[in-house]
Amino acid sequence: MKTAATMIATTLLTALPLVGSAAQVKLDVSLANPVLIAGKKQTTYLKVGLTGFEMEGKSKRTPANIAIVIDRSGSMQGDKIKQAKEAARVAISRLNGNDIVSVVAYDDTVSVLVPATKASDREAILAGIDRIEAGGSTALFAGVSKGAEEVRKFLTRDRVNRVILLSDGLANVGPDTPGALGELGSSLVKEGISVTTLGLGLGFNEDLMSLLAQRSDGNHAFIEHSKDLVKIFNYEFGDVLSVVAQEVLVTINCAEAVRPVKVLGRQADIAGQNVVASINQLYSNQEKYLMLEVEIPEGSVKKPLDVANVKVTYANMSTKTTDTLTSAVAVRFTESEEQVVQKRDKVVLEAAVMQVATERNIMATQLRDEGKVEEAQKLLIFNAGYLQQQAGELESEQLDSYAGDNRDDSMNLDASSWKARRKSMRDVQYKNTTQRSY
Amino acid sequence: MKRRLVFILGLIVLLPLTVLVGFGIAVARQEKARAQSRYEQVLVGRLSDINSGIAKLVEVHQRELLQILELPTFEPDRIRAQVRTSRLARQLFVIAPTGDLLHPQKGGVLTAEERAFLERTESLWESGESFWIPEEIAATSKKRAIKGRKRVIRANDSGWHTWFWGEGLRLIFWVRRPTGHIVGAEVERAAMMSDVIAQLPVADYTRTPLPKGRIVLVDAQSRPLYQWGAFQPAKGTLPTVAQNLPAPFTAWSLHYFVPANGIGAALGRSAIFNIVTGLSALALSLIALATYFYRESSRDMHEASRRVTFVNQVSHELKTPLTNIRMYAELLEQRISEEDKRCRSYIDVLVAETQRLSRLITNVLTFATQRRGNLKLHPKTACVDSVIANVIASFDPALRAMGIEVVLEGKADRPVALDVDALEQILGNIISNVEKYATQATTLRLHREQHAGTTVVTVSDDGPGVPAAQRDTIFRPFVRLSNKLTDGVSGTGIGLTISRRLAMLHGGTLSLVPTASGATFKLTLKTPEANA
Repeated sequence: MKTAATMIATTLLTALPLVGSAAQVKLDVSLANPVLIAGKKQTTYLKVGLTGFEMEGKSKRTPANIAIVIDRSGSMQGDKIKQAKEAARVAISRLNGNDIVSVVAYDDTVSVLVPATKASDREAILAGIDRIEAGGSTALFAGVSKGAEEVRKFLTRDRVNRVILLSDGLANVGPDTPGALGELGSSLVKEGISVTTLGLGLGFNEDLMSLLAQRSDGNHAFIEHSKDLVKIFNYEFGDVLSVVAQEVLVTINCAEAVRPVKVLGRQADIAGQNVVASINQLYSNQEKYLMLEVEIPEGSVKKPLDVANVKVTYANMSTKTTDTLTSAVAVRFTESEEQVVQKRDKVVLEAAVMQVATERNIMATQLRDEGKVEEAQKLLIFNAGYLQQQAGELESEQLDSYAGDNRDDSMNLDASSWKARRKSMRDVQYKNTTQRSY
Repeated sequence: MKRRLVFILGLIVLLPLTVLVGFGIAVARQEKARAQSRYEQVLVGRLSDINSGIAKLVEVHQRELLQILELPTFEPDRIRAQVRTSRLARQLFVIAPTGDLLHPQKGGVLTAEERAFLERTESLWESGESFWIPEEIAATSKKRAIKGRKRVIRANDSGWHTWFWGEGLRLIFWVRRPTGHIVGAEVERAAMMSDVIAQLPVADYTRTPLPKGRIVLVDAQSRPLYQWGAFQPAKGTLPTVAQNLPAPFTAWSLHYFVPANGIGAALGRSAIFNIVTGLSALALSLIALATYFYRESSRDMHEASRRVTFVNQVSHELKTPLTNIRMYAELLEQRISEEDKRCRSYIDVLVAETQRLSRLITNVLTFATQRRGNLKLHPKTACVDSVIANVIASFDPALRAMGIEVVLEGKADRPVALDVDALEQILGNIISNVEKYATQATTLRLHREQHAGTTVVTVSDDGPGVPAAQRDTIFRPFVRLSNKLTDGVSGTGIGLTISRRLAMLHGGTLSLVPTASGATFKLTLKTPEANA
């Protein structure tokens, strides 16, 4: 590699670009502190940012293959089911003849109301949605399985394959643990199917729903009021319809002396010097990133240190090719503390602080689950203070806003508001760790 | 009489009908059981169809897993890449021919997932038992050591293995490489389960000729994993039929629920219909037959009673002229001189015969009255001895003609309450029998006793007597002794019956006293003293 005085990012295109350089994912590898104090072992954050390119022209978007799985259990009766049907109708109106859609509804049994069909077959699809009526238990696992089976019928790598699950209840028929649903998510993502889980109201199991989404790299959102359903459905469809890259595999190879500590927020395999993580989908003009905490050995002012090589492979939805991007990052050392502060990358730091604070927020949730209300409260207040301080230093509105969230969280730990608060906390945690767009 | 007939005829109808209904129910029950087992067979057949579908899916999974396990190298990174793209494999492992775990290696450079895998599978490696070596081979290798004989048994090339950890059953699929390496995959259980569910029918699955039912896939703890079918069984009901899934899902089973009336609907309703129709037809014909018999017999009875009425009327009509004849014969007797013996004897015969005829008619009328249940006594104050004297006087000419001497013993001369006609009729019947059957007798002995409101009259002759075997039967209506003696002697066979009946009405008895020779009748009457 080239020697680099500052951070260098090189992009190599191994596949022939067919539509020019625009149709390429932007890889941005940077350190929170590109300049560190010499002669001291210290940790910093390495951020691998991936930004989706813009598809050319509206019609040239990636075709979608979507299964809408709707909970029709007894608790969905009334406004919820009405809004859910409306949301599905509105969402489907955004699809065209290239897209595939299916509609599955479940209570204690599962019905495939619309088997996978072209979205242009609107009448049959709408008739299927009209047939949804609420009543019964919640066979969530089976509902997702049947939805996935419908997606599988037209499962191709050049489509966005997704199951959108809408539920307001706990899974009570069939596998019902977050673990089991998480396993299902892990296996589905290997096939290229993501599951987006939309939790409606206060009755659903947010751990189960968020884990299913997280493991399958779909979205998870908490919708407290059914009137927001149409809006969220639209956001989700916006994401689905703007996918530009899939099966993104990020490999970070750390230099010998550098120790990868952990990846914040996302699932990743760390084995020795290698870190491997996958992101199922990248959306147009949206950044998803991987935040790796690294331990940098003692260095000298004279000699910059190569920190890591990063390799990213992904399926380019525009060119229908598998592309590879590579980049490398190095660190410099200095004697002056001032220079360290001056050279720090505020954007990377902001993201890192966000991830650290999110981890703390997750820990607070766990403490509250264990009944340790005071400890949870203390942690949240501490987190808010930390965020506040970092927001000032980094001049970040995002951190400031999250500080406010944490303060609010700390005030809503009592039994009466916890149920709803926990769902919104999971929602924000999910949004932060996966860089959800909405 | 009529009631008894109705009862008997009812019995004739009901008895066979009851037996046949019982039989019919038994047959119907058997038929139902048979139909149910037939029905269950059909249900089991459906489950088998589903299971064979699952078995095919398992084959597909196996093929997919075999492909996953075709690793070109055992490089950890290569294996990790394989895991990342294999939806059925949660983790892969390699065991060296020596039995040591090559990947993920304990203490090696591992990912968090691999460390978790080692933790999950710790019991597998720690137990010392190698699941990839079939039990029989493990056993024979021991035996071989003992016997020193060499036996080659081919080890399996691949197989499933299950163990429990955390949330339940976990699965391993492994392959033996020609090099002796065991390459295995911890199967992503949720994926297999999801595939099984995806293959099973959906809720409104209608392509079945069977009535609505519910099929439930349950795990080892009988918790439902997936279900379909329009029927909602009540909680706690047992499945109509059940079947285990093929390996490696043997801990799971399919439960088939059908509504209880579903079985009845499927059962040949025709069978029950046939039985009911048959029984009804039989009952109808039996009732018709009984009615026919009833009508026939009541016509007979009607006829008989008409005849009795006729005889009764005739007897009544005979009574008046007979009385006249007798009265005029007695008038004539008074007019005839003592010397005209011949004429007098004619008149004696005339009187005796009219008396006999009169007795006969009285008997017939009494019998008829008794049959109608109207027989009543009319006691009045009288003396037994004078009644006896009258009776003997009336028989006197006939007895004298036969050379029978009448001997009177004892006495019964107190005035008592007595139905004179009844006593006359009883004694007349007894003596008339002597006149008829004891023609060789020489003495007719009448012994009378009277004390404490009871009169006993014993009438004995020294004639041929009554055979011991028939001592009772002679009192039954229309029974006449049939032997040389009685042949050719006319009689109605109701005299003694009437006599005993009258004696009983009078609070007494009439019986034949066993004696060495001749016949002795003992008549007891309740005769309360008139002046007491």
